[in-house]
Amino acid sequence: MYHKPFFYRLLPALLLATSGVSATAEPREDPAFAEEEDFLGELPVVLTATRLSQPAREAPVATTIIDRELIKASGAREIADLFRLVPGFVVSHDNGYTPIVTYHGLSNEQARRMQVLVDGRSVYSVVFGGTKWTDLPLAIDDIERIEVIRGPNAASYGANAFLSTINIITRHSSETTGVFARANVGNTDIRDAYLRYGDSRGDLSYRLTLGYKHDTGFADRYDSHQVRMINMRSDYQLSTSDTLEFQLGFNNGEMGVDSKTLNAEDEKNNKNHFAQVRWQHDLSMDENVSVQLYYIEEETAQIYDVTIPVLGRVVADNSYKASRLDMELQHTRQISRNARVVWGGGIRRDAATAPGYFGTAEIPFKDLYYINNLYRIFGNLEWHLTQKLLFNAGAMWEKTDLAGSDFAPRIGFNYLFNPVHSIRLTASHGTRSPTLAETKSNFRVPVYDSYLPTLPTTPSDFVSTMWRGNENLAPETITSYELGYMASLPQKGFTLDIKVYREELGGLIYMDENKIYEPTDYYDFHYEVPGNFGDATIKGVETTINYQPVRNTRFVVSHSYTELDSALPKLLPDQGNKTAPEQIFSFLAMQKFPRRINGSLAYYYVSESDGLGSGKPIPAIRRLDLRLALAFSGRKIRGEIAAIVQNALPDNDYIDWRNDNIFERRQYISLDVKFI
Amino acid sequence: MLCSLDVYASTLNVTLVPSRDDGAYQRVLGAIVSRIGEQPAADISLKIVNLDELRKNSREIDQAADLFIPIGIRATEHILRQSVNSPVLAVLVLRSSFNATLKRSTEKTPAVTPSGTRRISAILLDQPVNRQLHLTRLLFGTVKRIGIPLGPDSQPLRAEIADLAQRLELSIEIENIDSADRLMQQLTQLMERSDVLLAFPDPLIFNRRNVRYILLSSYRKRIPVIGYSQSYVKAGALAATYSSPEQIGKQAAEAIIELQRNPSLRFPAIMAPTYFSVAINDQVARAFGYMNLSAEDLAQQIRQLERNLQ
Repeated sequence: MYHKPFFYRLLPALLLATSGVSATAEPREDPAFAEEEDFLGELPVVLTATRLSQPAREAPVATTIIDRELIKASGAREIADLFRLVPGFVVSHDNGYTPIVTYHGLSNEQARRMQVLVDGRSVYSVVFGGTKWTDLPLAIDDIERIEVIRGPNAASYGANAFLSTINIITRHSSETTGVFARANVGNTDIRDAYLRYGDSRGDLSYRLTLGYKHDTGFADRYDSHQVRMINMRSDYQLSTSDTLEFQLGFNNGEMGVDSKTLNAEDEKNNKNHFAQVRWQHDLSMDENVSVQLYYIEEETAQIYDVTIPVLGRVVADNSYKASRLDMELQHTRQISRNARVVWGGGIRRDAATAPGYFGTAEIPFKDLYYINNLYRIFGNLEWHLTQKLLFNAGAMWEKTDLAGSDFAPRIGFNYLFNPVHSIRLTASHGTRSPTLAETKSNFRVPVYDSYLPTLPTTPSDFVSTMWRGNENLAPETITSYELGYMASLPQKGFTLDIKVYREELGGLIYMDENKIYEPTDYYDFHYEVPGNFGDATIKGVETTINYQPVRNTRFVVSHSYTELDSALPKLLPDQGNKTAPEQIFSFLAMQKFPRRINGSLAYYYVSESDGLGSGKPIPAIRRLDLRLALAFSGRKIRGEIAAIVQNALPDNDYIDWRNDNIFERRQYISLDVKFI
Repeated sequence: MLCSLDVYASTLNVTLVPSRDDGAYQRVLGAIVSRIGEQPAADISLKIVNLDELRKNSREIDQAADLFIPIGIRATEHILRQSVNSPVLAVLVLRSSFNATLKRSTEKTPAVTPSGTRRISAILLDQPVNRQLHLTRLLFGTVKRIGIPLGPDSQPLRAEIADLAQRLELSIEIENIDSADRLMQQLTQLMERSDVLLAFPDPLIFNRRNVRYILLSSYRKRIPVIGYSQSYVKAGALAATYSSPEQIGKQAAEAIIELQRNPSLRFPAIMAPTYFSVAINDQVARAFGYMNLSAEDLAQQIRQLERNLQ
């Protein structure tokens, strides 16, 4: 089944409905005279218990917040670069436009054990898992805040909220009105441009962002990319108790690809688009329901067609097309002064086709889709047992076509000793469902005009199977124990969070070292099948400090010590264990100088590591990023010009995941202007 | 006896005019009456006049009254329009509306009457600037940037705010808002460069219509709001200093008693409310990471700081 036509047919109707109602909205009047009655009278309660989110010291799991100030100060052009500020996170690159964001290692170039949400929309890739950061139709300037939940939290974010969850929250459209533009120009041919227009009329507000990104990637790789994107968000206040949020995005890019195995270079085309609607309704001050519906489609077109001496003409089709339709209902209720319940359910349909990976069709994108239906229910309870003791419990039950059903509970206690000190103790269980690629793939490469003299008979054509999916895969499991300590002194601008944890992972899905014999494959005679082969235990300590000693100075420091003990197929224990670097450190200092000059300095350190599939071990990485900005303003204009240097240390080119990814110094100028 | 003659001579006739017969006006009235009642020795005669009756028949106005106390701006406006020579002490009025009413009435009826300048004073409902700044400082220290939107009515406070902020070593960001057209945009810009939002009453900015926008969008940015009234705190502001009608009434009663003791006393033209409380929204405070904030302690600390500042 294919849902796109229906969904998109719905959109104009929704848009019309919104604009129609807004036209009849009552005009605003200005109260001319301050009467004490307005002052003394009752106002509607706006920040009701259901609208307030759980503060960090009451949350069951360690959470890192990246706010707009940090986003700016980090000097990041790419969203993925922001996660360098989060303890335990490593950001590396499979190629110039494919960041790999991992937490606690164990990952190859597709970081599958992490959930990524944008305004509640799961952008976890339908086919391979992981997140295609460059293909998100989202401008970094439209982000309000990123919340990184470090630890499994399936009860709140669904399966795949395995090792962590990244929750990106975009800015409300009423806060991005007017014209905004940004341009970045730098070495490696950095050419980015963003243009945003937003307006707010009464109860309706909207914005439209256009973006273009370009750079040439790593010097020794064929990995230039250019991406164009459109993103639209609209918020409509239907009534005092109803809000409607509507988003659309479209992304289209061309990227260079290179293959070492095939000794080939090519171009690929990636498309990614989505539509999302959320309706929120307040039943009362203590009760709220929301319904969310979204549709995502991702598409890649790329075929290697190369002639390899001796072997013949090899056609490797990496194209695929996938979609996700998801609906979720959520109900929040403050059941008493001390207890709040959030529960809900959802259904999702993931569908994909790929002539090469799945062997679904000879001709690309016929409606031969592999489908994975998913049904889930979830519930969470926050209960203040006493003024100081808080109990958090949650669970999720999920059923998927690919991997049956699983149950993920979480239980935790937070104890608030006093306004400054608090501790949390949480145990949780999580799962990761196998991806479509892991279960259904049948990656076959046809070889034409072959001449293999070693073969008993010399065939002219054959098909080589690279790997196959495994329909009997079980979900990966994680059981995590976390002890956290938090100190917060809001008056002193200081917070400290220390997390000590132990994670036990089982049934990790990896390719088998025992290849399956395939006599008709004259190239390899073997192919691989994934299985629940891996196990790992991870222990560690993660620390974050946020400190603003004086008004114009702010520091954000994070450190993680990780001990990974793994048993992974095809790898020596030491190799697998090094997928999680032992030491990761980040330091970001922000300083406001006189004359509207802002400076920031970021230092990152990642100890020696080994990425799965990255080839050789990756030496320790030291990286210094600098940003110096000058703000300016006129009568109708406000802006900032900034110079950013990434990897500013002299003679410090470092290996970024792959041996041929050499991260050299990168510098660019960023100009942003807002017309007011 | 000289003494009894003195007491006789100092009988103070006070006419109280509530703007309405219910709600806050009655609470002020009740507080005045009960506070005066605690002072049985004082020779004070209280007369309560209904505003509507007064409007119907302006001759009702008691020219013999020694002091008029209109409660609320409507009663104040009416009293100021009458040609009475007795001193007027308006209570439960907002600074901006009192000043506007005063200006209008002096334009219409010259302030100078045959007996000389009319003595008009007010006990305001708005909290003094320093009190709100003290509260902000106690909650956030001196490191956070305090965003302050000022509209046409609150702009006169600008110099005072800037001066006090400097003395208290607070970092402030002021945004002048002149019209409702670009209000949202300007507030958004202000929030971009603020860590805390501090509200001073201004009907252009803080009104029933905008309360939702202001509190929701500030919370989305995790910016706490310091309100100026109990209702703003209930709606979702983190905290505020405020004076209840009872506290205003108590202060008015004490002014009456003082005047009775010293008939030549002249009230300052504008008096800030002396008695005040701190309101805290516990849920919002918790969401911002505060625990066990005591409104009573904060009020006590502010009182101490106000004494030190003097």
